[in-house]
Amino acid sequence: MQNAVEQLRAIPFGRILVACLGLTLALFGTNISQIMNRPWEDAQEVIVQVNQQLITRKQADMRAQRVWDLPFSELGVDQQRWLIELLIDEELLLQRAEDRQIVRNDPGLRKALVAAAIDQVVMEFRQQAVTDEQLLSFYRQHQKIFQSPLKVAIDAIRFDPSVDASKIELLLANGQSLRSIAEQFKHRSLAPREPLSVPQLHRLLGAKRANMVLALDESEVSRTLQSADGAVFYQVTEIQLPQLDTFHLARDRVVGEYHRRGRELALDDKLNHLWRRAMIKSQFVGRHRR
Amino acid sequence: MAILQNCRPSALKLLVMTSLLGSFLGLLQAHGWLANSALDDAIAAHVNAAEISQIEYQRALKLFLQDKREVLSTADRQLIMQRLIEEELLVQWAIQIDLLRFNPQLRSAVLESQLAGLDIQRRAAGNSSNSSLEVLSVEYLAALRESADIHYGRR
Repeated sequence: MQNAVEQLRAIPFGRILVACLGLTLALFGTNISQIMNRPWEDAQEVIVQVNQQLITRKQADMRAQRVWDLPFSELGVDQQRWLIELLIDEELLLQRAEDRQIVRNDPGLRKALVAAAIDQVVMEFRQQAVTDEQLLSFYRQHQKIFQSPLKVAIDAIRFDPSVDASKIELLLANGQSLRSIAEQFKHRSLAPREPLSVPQLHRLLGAKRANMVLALDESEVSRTLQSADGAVFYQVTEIQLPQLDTFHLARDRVVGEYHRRGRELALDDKLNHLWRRAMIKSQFVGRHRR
Repeated sequence: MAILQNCRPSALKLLVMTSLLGSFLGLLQAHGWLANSALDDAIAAHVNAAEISQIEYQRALKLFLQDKREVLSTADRQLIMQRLIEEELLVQWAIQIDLLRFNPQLRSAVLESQLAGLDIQRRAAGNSSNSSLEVLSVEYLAALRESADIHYGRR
């Protein structure tokens, strides 16, 4: 016996440490990822264990709240016993579903599983407090959202076929504005006078004429566009260039957009993370971000 | 220990080397890096240990084509494959973090589906009374409890 103790003392400490680590890994290694991925079970009181699956007080609380609108601790003994038996039955059914891979293979449940995963990503995103730095970074990365669009105000006049187009051209060449000429001939503008955005111009004039108008400088008049209804002229009266609101002015909008787009970005980040960690083989390589 | 003391240093080195090699190969196997890199004809993609079959992929292509009404481009095919892989990744993640137990909607859906399965069994057996489902559920759960390892903790 003394001989054995001496032999044990002769073993270097490092070897004992490595042996202990190996033993720990052998005992718990297979469950490490599971343990690390269950934040809910941290130091929670286990009320029952079903085939190594822990059912915690928190789960019992959640169920009790749903059934009686009370925490588990405030239930009577019979109610607690009933609830625990219910949780055991449910756990057995869940384990059965897992064994048979029903969730994975049933299209409806698979859909519910994916929806639950997306909800989880969104919930985790919402739980994060947003700092001004994050908002500012989001604002800088998505400046286009927070800038006012390009707007152009125009006069669009169609002169009656009875009016000589060359006379209009001469008046324009003499420096008169299209609006003043139209007033002389008692014609009205075909377009509203206020500045219009590019999509509005496209809707009003059609793509071809809108592009022509957008190529004009301020005060510049288009060439004469002859049609059966008469000669049409366009003059750009004002150009409002896109303007970026400062972060402080746009802060409320930044917060709104951050939450709206953040959910999509959070899902995209999660998928990217899962993709990078996974072993994927397919005929296509890599993932394109959404 | 006596065995180790009696071993020659070269034999010990060999033992350590083979142990390390074994561990390394085990690690490769565990991560699927030793699996055949070529895809089976029936398999469109592997996502960790799961497979996306050609049938699934072709079905998804058909669905996409119904909306698009054009010839599918390579980019379309890649996008569809990406969506299928992403779905599988979310499924695996949801299972890994145990959403089955902690997401109330999903939990209810799975439990309902299990009970619906029992109902189908009951109907297949030619019994349609309501009490039979209860009896069947009780019997089924009793059978599950019998083979289960249940330990009660502090309440």
